[in-house]
Amino acid sequence: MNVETFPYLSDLAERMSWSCREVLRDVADVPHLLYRVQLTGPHFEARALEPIVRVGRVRADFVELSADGLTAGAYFDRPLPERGAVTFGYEDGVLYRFPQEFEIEHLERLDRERLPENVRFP
Amino acid sequence: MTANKQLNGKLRLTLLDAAGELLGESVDIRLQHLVLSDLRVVSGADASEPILIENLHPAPQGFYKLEVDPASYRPHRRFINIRSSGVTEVEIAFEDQEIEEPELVLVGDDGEARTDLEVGEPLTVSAGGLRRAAAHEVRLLDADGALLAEQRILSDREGVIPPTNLWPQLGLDDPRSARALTVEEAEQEWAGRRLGIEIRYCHKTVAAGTVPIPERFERPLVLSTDVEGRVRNGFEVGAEDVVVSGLRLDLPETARVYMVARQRDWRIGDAFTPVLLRSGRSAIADVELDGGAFRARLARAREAEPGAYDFIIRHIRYGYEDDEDLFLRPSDIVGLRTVTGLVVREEFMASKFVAGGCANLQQISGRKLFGAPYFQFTNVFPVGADVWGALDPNALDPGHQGKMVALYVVPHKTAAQWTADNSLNHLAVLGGNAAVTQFKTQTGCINHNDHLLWPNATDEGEYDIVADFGNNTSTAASFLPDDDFDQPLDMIDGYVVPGFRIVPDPVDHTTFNHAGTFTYNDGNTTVDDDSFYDPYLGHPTPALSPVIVPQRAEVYFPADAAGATLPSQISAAQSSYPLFLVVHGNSTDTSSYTGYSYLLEHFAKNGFIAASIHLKFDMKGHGRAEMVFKHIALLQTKFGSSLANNVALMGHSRGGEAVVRAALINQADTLGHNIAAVISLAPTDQYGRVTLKDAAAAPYLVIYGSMDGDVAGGAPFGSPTPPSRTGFSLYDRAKGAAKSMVFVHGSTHGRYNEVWGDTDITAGWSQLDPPDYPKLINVDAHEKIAKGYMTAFCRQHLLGESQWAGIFRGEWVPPAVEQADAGKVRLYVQTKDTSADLIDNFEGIHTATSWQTSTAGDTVDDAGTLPVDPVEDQLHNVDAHSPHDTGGLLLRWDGTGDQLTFGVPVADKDVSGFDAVSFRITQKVDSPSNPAGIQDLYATLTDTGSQSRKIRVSKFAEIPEPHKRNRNQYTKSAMRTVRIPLHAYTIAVAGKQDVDLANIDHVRFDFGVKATGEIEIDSVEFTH
Repeated sequence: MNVETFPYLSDLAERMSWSCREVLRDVADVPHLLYRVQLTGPHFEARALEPIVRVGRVRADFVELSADGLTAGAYFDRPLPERGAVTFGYEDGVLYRFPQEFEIEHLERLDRERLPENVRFP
Repeated sequence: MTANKQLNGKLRLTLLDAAGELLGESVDIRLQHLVLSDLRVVSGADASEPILIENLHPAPQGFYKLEVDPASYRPHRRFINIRSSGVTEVEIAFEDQEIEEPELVLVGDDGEARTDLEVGEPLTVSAGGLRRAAAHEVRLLDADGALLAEQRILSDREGVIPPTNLWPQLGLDDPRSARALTVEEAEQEWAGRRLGIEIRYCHKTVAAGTVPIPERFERPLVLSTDVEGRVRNGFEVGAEDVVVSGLRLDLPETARVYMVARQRDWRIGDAFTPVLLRSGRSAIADVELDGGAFRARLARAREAEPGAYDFIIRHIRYGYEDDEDLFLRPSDIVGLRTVTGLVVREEFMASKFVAGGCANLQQISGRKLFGAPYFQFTNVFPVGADVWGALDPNALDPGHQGKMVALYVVPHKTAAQWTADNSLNHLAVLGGNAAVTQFKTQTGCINHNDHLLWPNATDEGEYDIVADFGNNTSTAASFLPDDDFDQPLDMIDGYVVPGFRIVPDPVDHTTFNHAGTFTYNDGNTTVDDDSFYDPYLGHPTPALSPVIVPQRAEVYFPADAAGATLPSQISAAQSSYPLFLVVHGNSTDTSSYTGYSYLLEHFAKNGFIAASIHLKFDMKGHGRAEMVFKHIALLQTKFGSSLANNVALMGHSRGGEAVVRAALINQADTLGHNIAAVISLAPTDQYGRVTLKDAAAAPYLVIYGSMDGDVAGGAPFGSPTPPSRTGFSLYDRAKGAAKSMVFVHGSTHGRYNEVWGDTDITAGWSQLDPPDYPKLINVDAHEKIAKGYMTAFCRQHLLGESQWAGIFRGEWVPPAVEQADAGKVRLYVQTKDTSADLIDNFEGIHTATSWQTSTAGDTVDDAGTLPVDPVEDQLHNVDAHSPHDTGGLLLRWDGTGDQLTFGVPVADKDVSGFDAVSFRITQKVDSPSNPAGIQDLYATLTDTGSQSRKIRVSKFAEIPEPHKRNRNQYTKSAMRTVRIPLHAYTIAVAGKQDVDLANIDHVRFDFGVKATGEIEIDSVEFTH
């Protein structure tokens, strides 16, 4: 569903936003630098199906929803595009398309000097 | 879940007749709680005194619908409220006696009511308005009151006796002496006489009528006779010439006689083919008529093959080429519709199947089918089903043919018990020995020898059926059953194993009266859960991350008294109990695990320790699986040795995938849990294509709905390689153990969980829309499906009760499921045995021609009939609506002569050790070739001697129209398994050849039922 095409969701469209930063996560005991795209605005509901977030053509490797449904954290273990649409949905389709396009310059980067030596980059 | 756990309500019913006296008969009582899942059925209660029913839900939750159904009165229904204490007294006076008057109807050969019958016509009667499900004597009397024929027949549950033939060809044989008459002799003897028909119940005539035989005969008659004109409807191959006589034919001087394969219900335009005789010539004769009569020899004794035949008479006009078209015309004259013209029998001992040594064991119990092959032998019936019995003419030795027989239904006895006591005591509930069904055996078609033995069978148990030939006579008047099982004259369905079983409805069936319950919260634990999880993204190594989970669960267990809340109060009836463990799916509602109380309580009353465990929001496959073992350990500490190492895992949604993962972990990590059954309910399939197979294989059941609003099952979004991921894909991949899948039309995702309810219908992400809502089945139906199918599956595989297997072969549906939501439930079963003889599974490398070679290594050939070559491929590649993860064959036909033949390799030709020919099949969604409604075709077996029989698939299984969804991408080309019992190809059926199962040459799909179609098939095999 593209909220831009539904006037009654215009309030929602105004509240929908994303932020993006680099984070570290241990995966199989190896520190991984991941890109986390944090989504807010809609109510992200739990389903049987895993949620899916895309930035442009790049799909997040996993998505974590908060228990209160207010945020969705999408984690990328692969390079993000310079620009691209941000969408949230499930295997069966896109539920939200965020009005603000992703731009890589908004990525909050970690200080490379302070990262562990064995960190794995996307 | 708000079920009142204190089942201390009591109801006393006082039932009175019209005179205000206690009702002196048995009644059936049904109590259905209006809200809770509580159905009580009391069958055959004695209403000669007040009836007490205990353990009901009392007020404030004591609302029930009560239905009392006596044998002699109309059922009475009312709502009642069970008092919170004491006994609720209800008095019902039955005043509206059944008002329907018994009615007796004479039925003509064309199925229409008749007022008289001529010599040579079948004498058939039907009756209605009789006492329901009761034995009636149907007697045919001569004008002087002498008994000519008698059958004892059960009326059905509506009080109807269906058309029943008393005299196959009136007058042409003397029922008292078995003497055959010529037509002329018969006309002379019977003209102008008036026969009487009586229907008697308990020695009192309840309906009567007459059969006038006119002075002059006008209707044309064509029949098989001897050379002197005496009727000969059957003889052993090689014994006699085939002679046909015609009388009263309104034809000019010459006519042509065709001997053709027997067909029931000849219709104008039907094609026919003259029989090819052993000598190589066709069975045709041109005859000259003398006063509308002729007699002609169509075949010498040595020429006729075994089979059932009819005769067609046609006037051939000189010079008219069209007169030789082999299509039935309005002016053609055909022999009788309901009586086979001639049966040439196999040499008896060459074809007889002897199963029991000295005891003559034969299958008798079964279900009636409408249309060929008319009867399906089976040995398990759910309570409330009608039990029919049939004597296959092919299994009758010559000494049994045309003889009176009585069919006794008796409690099962072992061979030793039969040896010790061979007396027969027909069940009291069926009226005892005085009410035994009696009839005269006929040759030619099993349809003539089937009878309703037990309508609405309600007494659970194991039974045998004995065919008692008594004093071995062909005349009804002198027939005396001897109430003994005499070997080798009498036949038995039973002896070694029960002839049949009446099994309870697993939806209602319990073996313990009480269930204790408690919950526990034993602190947090840490398990590893999936992190990088999706194989479709190409991650080399799925990784795991720790997650902290509270160890909470709800537990039910068998108890000896109400109110038990401690594991130590588990029933003392057994030393240990199997475990049924439930793993719920993803939800932010932390009470999700309490949504299965209805199911846990049912399992506890079936003798299981039943627990539903809590899983944390957003847990995935691995973490849920690990929690299974954490909780088994906790339950072991609580129940000690009362908890058997005999485990069934049931998972819902993400849990449905996790239980498969749990079985894999159990095997890989050698945890030692005996996982004897795995059930996936509306499962996901998104954490790495987990597959229940190899050493981890366990009996597997998948239940999934066509209206799942969450795991809706379209082509995966963004995935490079579909198939869609639902229970279908889990089912398709599973192998190494028996598996079944139940696809339920109208079933949703959440209605199996009382906490979730309609979430997948109402949520913003729901994949259902208002146009779908009328197609949904209600919560009650969902819960009955879960209770019925899951308990039956677990009882089968954890308790070793084989009587439930038929449910998972799609042979029967638990009655309460069938009746749920006003009969709206439609479900379709896939099943696979581990010991099948595979013909083709369409796996391997797919090419444009790979379909032409079967998995078994033989040829597959359409004989150039199909409009385009079939396509063998992964089904999701050829049909975006296919939910399957398997190779299959897509094919389309456009003519009733189209066919597809699978050769059977030499090593596999003997299939006599199998029970059924089986395949999976579906209509292709949105194919313009498929007409609306069900699709149909024939499955044909042909032996190496070219004997062939085709069976219409719809006689045994429906190929349904895909259940359409508003969002059409979720409408599924969902295969179901069709199983056609192999006896359908061997029992005697008029006009059909008997196939030699020891020498099968090929299996063929004949597309002669519907003119066009497009289907997908898989798993063509012979199976048990």
